[in-house]
Amino acid sequence: MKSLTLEFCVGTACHMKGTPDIIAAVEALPPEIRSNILLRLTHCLGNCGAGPNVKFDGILHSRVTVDSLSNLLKRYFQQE
Amino acid sequence: MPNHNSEIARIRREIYTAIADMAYRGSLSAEIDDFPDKFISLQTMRYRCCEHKEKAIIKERLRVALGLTVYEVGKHTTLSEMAKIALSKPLKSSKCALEMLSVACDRCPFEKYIITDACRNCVAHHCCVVCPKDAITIVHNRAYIDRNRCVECGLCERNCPFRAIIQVTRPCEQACAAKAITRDQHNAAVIDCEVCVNCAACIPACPFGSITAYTQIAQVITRLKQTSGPIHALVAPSFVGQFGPRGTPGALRSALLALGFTAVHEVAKDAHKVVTEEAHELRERIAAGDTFMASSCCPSFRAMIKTQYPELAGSVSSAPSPMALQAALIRQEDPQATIVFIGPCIAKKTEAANSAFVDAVLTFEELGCIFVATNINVAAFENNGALDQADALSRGFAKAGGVSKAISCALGDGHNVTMRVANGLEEARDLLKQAVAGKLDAQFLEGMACVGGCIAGPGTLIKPNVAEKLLERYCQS
Ligand code: SF4
Ligand code: SF4
Ligand code: FES
Repeated sequence: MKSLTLEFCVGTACHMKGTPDIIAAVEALPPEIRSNILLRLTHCLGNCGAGPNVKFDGILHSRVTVDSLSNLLKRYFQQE
Repeated sequence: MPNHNSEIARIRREIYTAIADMAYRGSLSAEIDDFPDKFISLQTMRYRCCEHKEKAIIKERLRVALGLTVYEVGKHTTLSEMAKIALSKPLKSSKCALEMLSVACDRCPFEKYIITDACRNCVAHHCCVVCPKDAITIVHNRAYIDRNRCVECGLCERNCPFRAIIQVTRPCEQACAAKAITRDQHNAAVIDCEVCVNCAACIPACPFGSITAYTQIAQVITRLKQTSGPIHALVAPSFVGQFGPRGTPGALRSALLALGFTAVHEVAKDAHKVVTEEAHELRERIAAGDTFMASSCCPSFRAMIKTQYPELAGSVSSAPSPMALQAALIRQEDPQATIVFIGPCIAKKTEAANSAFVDAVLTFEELGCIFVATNINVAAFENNGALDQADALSRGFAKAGGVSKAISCALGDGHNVTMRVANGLEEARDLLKQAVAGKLDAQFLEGMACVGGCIAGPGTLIKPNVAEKLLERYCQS
């Protein structure tokens, strides 16, 4: 399975808009998927008005929700 | 337990952030009148019957966020006039911490048993047969409950083979352990302020977001902008982790200083004095023949005793809460100080209103919104040490069981004082009932209105289980 780098913004603006929940959702993934994800934290991704922001495989996604992230993950890991 | 990611929380935070932003730029009176229009047109989702109702609700939310009660404004007071009233008030908390917005309440069904579409008008009619009051008849091919006869026994619900009869309770009423929520003549929910203990359990419970707490966001920001005299931040021990994995204790201190606070203190700093006093009092009371003593630090627990079990009022420890003690010490040292308590708690707003030392209260959520509005990113500051000095047992007050643990240590090894923790108001009610009957099997009763303690308070930003682990780590550091 290919690996994936996720960079979460834990800056205050993103934190107030829901970063804790999306990080918790990633931590709760089944181990066979979770082990392929490298989780990085950063204090700002420069798009504070549209949080929570996540860099998914190098691409910035804004207004991320637990659902939208799980869709991205599904698509990414099915592409093999 | 607060739901940090609900639509209600999102709307609340947007409103707090907007108020903080306008107050910070000094443009509250100039801009706030246009806010409901702007806010509603930005929203892509609509919840209410029409735009006018949505705007009316937003206007009410803004009023409460400005810290104003219905009695302080008239029917036609504009938002800009409200902003002026709010900013001209002395910095002081209000007596009641929250308000039921009548226009936002959706008047949820209150009949306890409801017949649904699943009713097949069967031949057996178990519902009619079991009803002891003959309250059920068949109307239009379906069972019908005569409300005047129904005694809400629930037999019909249990006996329908199609489960066509359901039990419903208003979410707000269900959440309220103090039984303070009733209905007005139009069936809107109302809070009986004499009974309410300000625990704020109803705020996340109402799916329409009808209940909301008064804030001092605008007032505190305005005070922070004036450079007249020192303003101290007094931070509750449950702060650990609330501002995210990079919002470390040292970073939070720097962020508060950047916001304009002159000094940052931990509430836990001198809480060991409270522990010593409380343990001493407990020993004396037991020696004098008292059957039990209740802890005094949780204002909702204390209020529940006062309003619902007045015969136990004398059993509450006379020790001050750590907030009250720390604020008094700061004021002693610095008579000019303005003192702002920052914590997870809404009930502390009422405690502060009755205190000579605490001028304002902000929840972690309200403070977070202020940081966003002022472009202060807690995560960007360096992690340089603790927030302040305090011992582990005092910091442990933030978790249910922490007070008992500290008292137990202060009593010394081998003491034989029995202790119980009332974890949440439901449990508190049961244990207090036992105490009234003289059947409580404990000499010290620690009461926490929130299940889990302050780390699960209504003004928190992270899940209590995460907060608990981080608190433990901080206590050991
Ligand atoms: S749950 Fe909310 S909307 Fe329903 S009755 Fe209670 S306050 Fe009103
Ligand atoms: S006691 Fe608690 S749940 Fe009941 S009305 Fe007051 S704040 Fe709400
Ligand atoms: S705080 Fe998340 S993008 Fe700036």
